[in-house]
Amino acid sequence: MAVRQQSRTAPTGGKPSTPYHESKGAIAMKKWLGPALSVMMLGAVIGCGGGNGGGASSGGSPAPGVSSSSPDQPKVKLTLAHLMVEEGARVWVADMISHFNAKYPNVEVEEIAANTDKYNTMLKTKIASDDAPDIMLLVNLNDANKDYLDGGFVLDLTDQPFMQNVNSIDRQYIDGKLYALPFDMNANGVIYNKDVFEKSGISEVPRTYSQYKEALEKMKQAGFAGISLGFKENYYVTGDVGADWRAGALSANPNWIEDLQSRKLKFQDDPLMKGILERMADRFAYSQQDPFGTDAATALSLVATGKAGMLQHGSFMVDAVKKINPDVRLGFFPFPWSEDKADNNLPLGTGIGGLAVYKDSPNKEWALKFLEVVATKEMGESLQVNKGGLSLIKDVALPQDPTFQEIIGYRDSGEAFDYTGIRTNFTTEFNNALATKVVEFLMDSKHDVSAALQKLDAEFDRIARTNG
Amino acid sequence: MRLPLYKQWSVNLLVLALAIVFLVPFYLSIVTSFKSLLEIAESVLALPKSLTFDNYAKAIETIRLGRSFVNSAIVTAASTALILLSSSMGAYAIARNYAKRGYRLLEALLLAALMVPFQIIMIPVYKLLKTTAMLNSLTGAVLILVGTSIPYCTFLLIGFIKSVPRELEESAVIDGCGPYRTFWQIVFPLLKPIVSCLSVLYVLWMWNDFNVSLIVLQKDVVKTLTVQQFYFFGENSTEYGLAFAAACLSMLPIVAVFLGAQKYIIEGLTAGALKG
Amino acid sequence: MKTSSLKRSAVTLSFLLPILLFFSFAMLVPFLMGIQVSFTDWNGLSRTMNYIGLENFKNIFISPDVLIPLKNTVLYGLMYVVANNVLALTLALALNRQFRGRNASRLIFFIPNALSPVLTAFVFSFIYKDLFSELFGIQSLFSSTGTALIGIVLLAVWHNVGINMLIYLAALSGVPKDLYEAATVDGAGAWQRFANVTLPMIVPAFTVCITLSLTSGLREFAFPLVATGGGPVRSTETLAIYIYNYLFAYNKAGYGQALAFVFMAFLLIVGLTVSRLLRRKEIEA
Repeated sequence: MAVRQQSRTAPTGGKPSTPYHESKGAIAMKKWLGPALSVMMLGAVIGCGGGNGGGASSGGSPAPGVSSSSPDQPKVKLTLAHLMVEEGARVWVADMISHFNAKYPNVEVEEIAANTDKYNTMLKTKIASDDAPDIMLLVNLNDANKDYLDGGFVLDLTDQPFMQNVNSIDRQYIDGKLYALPFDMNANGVIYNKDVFEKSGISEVPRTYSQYKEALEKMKQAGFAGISLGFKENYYVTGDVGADWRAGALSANPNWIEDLQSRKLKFQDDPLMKGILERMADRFAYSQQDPFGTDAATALSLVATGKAGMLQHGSFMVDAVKKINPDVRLGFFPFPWSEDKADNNLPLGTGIGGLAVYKDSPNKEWALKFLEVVATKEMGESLQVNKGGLSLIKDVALPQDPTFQEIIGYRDSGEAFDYTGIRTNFTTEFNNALATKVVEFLMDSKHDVSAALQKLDAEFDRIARTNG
Repeated sequence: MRLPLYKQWSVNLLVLALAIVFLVPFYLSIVTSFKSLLEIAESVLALPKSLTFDNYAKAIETIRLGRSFVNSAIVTAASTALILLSSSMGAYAIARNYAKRGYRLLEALLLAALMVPFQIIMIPVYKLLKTTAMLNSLTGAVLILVGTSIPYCTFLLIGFIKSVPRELEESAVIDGCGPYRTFWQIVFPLLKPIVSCLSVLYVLWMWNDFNVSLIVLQKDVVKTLTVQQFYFFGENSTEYGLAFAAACLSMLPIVAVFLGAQKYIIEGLTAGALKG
Repeated sequence: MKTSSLKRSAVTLSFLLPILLFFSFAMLVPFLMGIQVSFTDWNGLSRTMNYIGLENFKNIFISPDVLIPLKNTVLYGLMYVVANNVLALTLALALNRQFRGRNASRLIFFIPNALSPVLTAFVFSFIYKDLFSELFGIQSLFSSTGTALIGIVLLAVWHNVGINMLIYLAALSGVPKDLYEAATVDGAGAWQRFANVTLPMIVPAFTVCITLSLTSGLREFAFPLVATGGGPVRSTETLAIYIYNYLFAYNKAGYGQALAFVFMAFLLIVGLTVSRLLRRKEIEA
């Protein structure tokens, strides 16, 4: 019929015409379909198999020669979640796991590590889906991460004997109980490059605010950036300003953070905040080029390579700077917010938190045994060597690193202020708002302090209002 | 062809210039992957002092390249195949019944799904996979990837199928072909241009998928390359050298696939230009 | 006759079954689960949550704070769609001819899509900071609230233009040459050939490319999150980032989920409108 004939000839109007019997496409398609289908089937097979934990654990390895089906000990799997992904820290964790396995070869420890932002997301998702890790690193349990506590996810560790191996453990109590094993101490203040100080003719570490300003000026004259500001990232902003509020505001008013968040205290009524902003504006003038485009890693490397003299943060940054340049000579001093040297003590302590155990973990007993291993002198020493930092475990010899020796010097001469137990961080939403407003304040060339305080109040009020 | 020669040459030159600009980020990635942290801190743009493969060796060891590679490959291949097969079938049904309201509604539903940001379903997806015991399984990851990719793929295919003349199918039916044969032997081959194109796209996207893999594949043994790369972005410092080494390694297969697949893409694209 | 139509329906259903199954499992069911959460005060963590009715939704509409990310998102969406599609079409036209280095060029413009979004953002941060200051003496685009969003657009376009370029190329190759010849014979110049032959024939590609780059642009999440974290001073904070913060960082998952639904409604309206407008112009075979 006519219809049939038409289909074999090229239709008019520019439509594509492909005779269907000899379609090259069909042949090519069959060629393509075959391999695709086999890959699919392969995928389905391997996919099902791969999900059954057939791989080796990422942490330590069981002691050789011990069969996994030992009759006495049941095979156990522990999951350990943490956010310490820097190399040194990973080595420390691996060391802990292998020590643990030497003692308990029947337990496999699986590490789940993620960096800061992803960590909280990952942890919350897992807990919300009843898939919580057995052991998790939790900090700020008394403030920013109180939800973990309130949600009843954390095991009470008060009566665990290993907790007594920790220095100043009495500071870690929340409502009379202990919930996490802290393992290291942080100081908070100024990390400085000794070579830059020397080249700028700074012979003494600044202990008053005017000395600090002088030091900045000297470094500028010598051609260095006095202070390294990685202000592209919010956490760096609050870390820098935080060295000020930890040294100053918190020692004057331990409830400073809480009062501001509950709106009991307004920024506009607070002379402490006014001082903080003014000092921020002062040092901003001595920063490296383009502070708002500089990320944290670059800011650290400026100090590591001797282009900038100082940076302000927690002492955990020391390890990070040294990783970039192992030969750098670093020192540490408290941020001298006041003219009176006696006020300028080094904040040294630990946030409330550490390694916590999931309350409903089926492997609670083994998790506790793991924490026991962490709380040993040996692992404390391992921490200082590998991760860098100051171990909280009793009887651990002081770290040899000169930077940390300097920090301990302040403690020994009574010039430290132990902030353990005091709330030192804002919750995330408030923290981000604070960082944003500080950046806005600095971007304004007039550095209008009263306007900034007003905006801060408006933001904090807004956030407090939507807080359930 | 129709443009005067000098115009053609200036267009070529502009294209070339732009191409060079486009390659700068890759230059940086490769160059950085050969530098130590100190070198990177000193200068981002300079060529590396020496072509040491330290970063690469460390990257391979740390992220267990072998296993991750296999995981990525399986997820990519399985997802791509399933997406294309099911989307072309579904798009065919919708495109050929476009006059009926129900089918247009279905298309609207798929379009609406494109608007769903992944955040809405992140936690529910996790819970769902946990209940069906598919967490930390490549199968689970594939199911979610396919389900979330189908809207886009189907949407694209609906448009193209509508440009395929119905006469060919009608005559096939008259010749006695069943609906399935009609589809696979007549319609599907005509979709070759767009299907080739989409295969490449989906191989790429599935390979680089992050959101789904992060949530579903958390155990080391099933992690894909993209997730493993993030291992290097530490809390306070970013190991750029290692990260870029891992990135370069991760890119190699994709570039290889694209180079190899170019033939098919070209074939597919030019097939449309041939006349009967 | 009835059995035959039933049979036809069954056949059609069988074609639809795969996508329906996958889609329901991966998207529909989780979506419905999510609706429930938006009516609670869940903090993303605890096992309990309280129903608070429409409280979350009310808070969204009385809070002027959401206007900040909204403005950023719309601005970004518009800039991205225009930049991406103009460049993609231009490249497709330029590469639609035979010349040496054409295949290599095609590869080069597409290859950015091979770099993962996170690394793309990092490399561009490098570029803006170090390269630009060396070559042009200006500070990083991400340092100033006025230019940060533009910086994101540039890197997003670099990353994604290859896709649209390929789609436009596929569409261009489907335009039969005899149409061009007919037009030339009729005396049409290059621009007229483009406007009257090329453009109308590739409208399906426009529908696809524009709708999709618009909706994906409006949902932009990874690039600004990694490149600037939403800063400086929230100038690159898109709605997706805003929602993500509430869901995961601020412990306000109920509110975040409600925001996500309102956001989705917004995208739906935009997407459907644009798509309808363009679909009407398509030429059915």
